[in-house]
Amino acid sequence: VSAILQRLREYKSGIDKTDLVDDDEHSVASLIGRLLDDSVVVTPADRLALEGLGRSIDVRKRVSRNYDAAWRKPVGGSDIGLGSGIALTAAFLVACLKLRNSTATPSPQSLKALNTALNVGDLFTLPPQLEALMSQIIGEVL
Amino acid sequence: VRTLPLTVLFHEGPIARAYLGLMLHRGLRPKRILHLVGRRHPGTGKAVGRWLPRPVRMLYAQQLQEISMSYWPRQLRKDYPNLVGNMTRVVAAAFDTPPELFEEMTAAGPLERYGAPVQRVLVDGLRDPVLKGILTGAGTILFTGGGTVPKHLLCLDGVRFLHVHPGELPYVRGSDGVFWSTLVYGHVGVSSLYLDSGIDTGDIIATARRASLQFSQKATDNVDAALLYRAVFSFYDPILRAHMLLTTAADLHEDRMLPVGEPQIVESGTTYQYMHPRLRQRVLRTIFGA
Repeated sequence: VSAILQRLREYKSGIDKTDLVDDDEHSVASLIGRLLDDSVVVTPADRLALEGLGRSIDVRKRVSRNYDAAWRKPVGGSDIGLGSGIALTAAFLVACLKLRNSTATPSPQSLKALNTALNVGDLFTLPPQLEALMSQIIGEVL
Repeated sequence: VRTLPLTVLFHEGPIARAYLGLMLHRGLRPKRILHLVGRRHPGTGKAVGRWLPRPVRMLYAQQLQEISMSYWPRQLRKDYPNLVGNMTRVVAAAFDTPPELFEEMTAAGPLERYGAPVQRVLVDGLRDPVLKGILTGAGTILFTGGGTVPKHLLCLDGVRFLHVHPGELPYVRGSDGVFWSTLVYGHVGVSSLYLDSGIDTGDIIATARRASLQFSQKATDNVDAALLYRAVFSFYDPILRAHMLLTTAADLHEDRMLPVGEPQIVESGTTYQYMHPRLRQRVLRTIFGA
């Protein structure tokens, strides 16, 4: 799993430069940055972000650059670019792995993150390597 | 026949038909059926028969709605009789339901057969202003689908909306309850609750946990995953809900209100969205793997 995490973290460098403009704590680019860093835990604030943003993506099937404080409503009209979309897929996959239970029962939050990763992956053309990692993770968590 | 202290807010489809059909088979009836007939086509959203005289428009809109909402159950019965035959046998045995109920659910018989007075109203969804006047003081209303109940209806005097959710609350809220329950917990759950403005966060009346049903893999040959998904919502999910409704309401008489619900701790549960087809595929393999 640590090898998978390492490979997923490499997608951080692909975030589109245009998505880093107006970067603040409620921008998707900064969330991706935090989720793809080296820490092994997801902070309570980022759990809330995953919940709100995940819901928004799963329902709306699009990803904006910035969201409101609850990560429910997009702020501004622009959607993220391809590089950020790929990085966001990797970020939700990392969250999926980080939020797993140590018990035999799957973690609801981990599976929700995986569900959103799959939905983000449908919105962007993913590189085959990331597709392969995604399949590996599905096998790992289910 | 006993009358339950319920107004059924009838939105055409297998769920509403399962509620009424199972009531009929158990010797029960609601005190009233309020049939919501959509002014707009359920598929296209276009206004239906605006040029027609009102009674004819009502009939026409009703038929369009019925054809649209029963399309998949009927198509599945027609094209995949082995699949439907297997599913209905397994579900009927598990929930002690008469096999003919499944046919009735898709046969679109007149609502009068369920023994309660029927009022038909042409509406533009649940936000239609006409509903406020009709529902005020209606007591307990069984919600059968058709969108989200707006806040102004939830706040009406003398009204509470009863809903049956296919997930064990508070653990499984939101969409695709049967699928998420099976994936996360390995069993299915079902809950009856009173609606509030949140997603499945209202006061819980009862919850139950049941073993996941398994259907024959042989019956699923050449049936794609999207159709199997529709089959679950046509023949399994509606009976799971109807059975729970009758468990909740079984001991009630017309002079008694339905039980009070227990408040939920909103933070303790998980709200799920629609399951992605790749995860759904995994669950379908469990459900149709016997």
